[in-house]
Amino acid sequence: MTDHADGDLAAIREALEKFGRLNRPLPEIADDDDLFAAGFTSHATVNVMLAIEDALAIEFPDELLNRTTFASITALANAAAQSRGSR
Amino acid sequence: MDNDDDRVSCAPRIGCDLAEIEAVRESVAVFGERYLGRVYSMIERSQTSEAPERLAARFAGKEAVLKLLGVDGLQPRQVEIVADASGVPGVRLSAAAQASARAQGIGDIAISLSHEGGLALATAVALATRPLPGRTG
Repeated sequence: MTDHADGDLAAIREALEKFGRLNRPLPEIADDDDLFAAGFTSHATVNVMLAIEDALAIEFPDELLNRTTFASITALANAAAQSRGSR
Repeated sequence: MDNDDDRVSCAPRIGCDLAEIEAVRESVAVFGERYLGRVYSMIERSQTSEAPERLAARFAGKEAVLKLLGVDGLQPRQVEIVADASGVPGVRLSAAAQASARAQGIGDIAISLSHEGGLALATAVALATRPLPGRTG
């Protein structure tokens, strides 16, 4: 999956801005950059997930709650699209 | 030839994690029940009285155990940090996490928790047993 809704990407970036606690400014982080290399922690993934769920009115299924899902903005957008499809 | 194929080694496993107490406090304040329900079991919530420093220690404990198991795809709820009657913390695994532990020959997992200066720390230790391949010479 390569095309993501602009709204999804904006919501993911907003969630990361508020709750990601990254060690680099978000505008410097490309969609495919490794978020864990930018300081993303396991605890912050929970908050970011909840913020994305709130913003997009979705719920990440348990099978998507793994490190791969939170590896990048693109991966999060893929997971959001998959979560929407699984409802 | 001796019976090397039957020999089993015990390899120590360790996992550790740090959690920011303030981050946990913020999560509870912003997401409340949704955060608590997705991360902690009822017994963990009860035993910690949902105090941020104690929740943070439990979170670090869960992550320490997940690192020890080395398996992606297990969630924090699948590892419980539960104190016994004397207050000593122990580890309780979900069926999926138990299966992962068994597959690696991991039995009991010991856990130690602490918090100080805004951070909570946990260290998990276990022995993993594996049959060694046959040796020559």
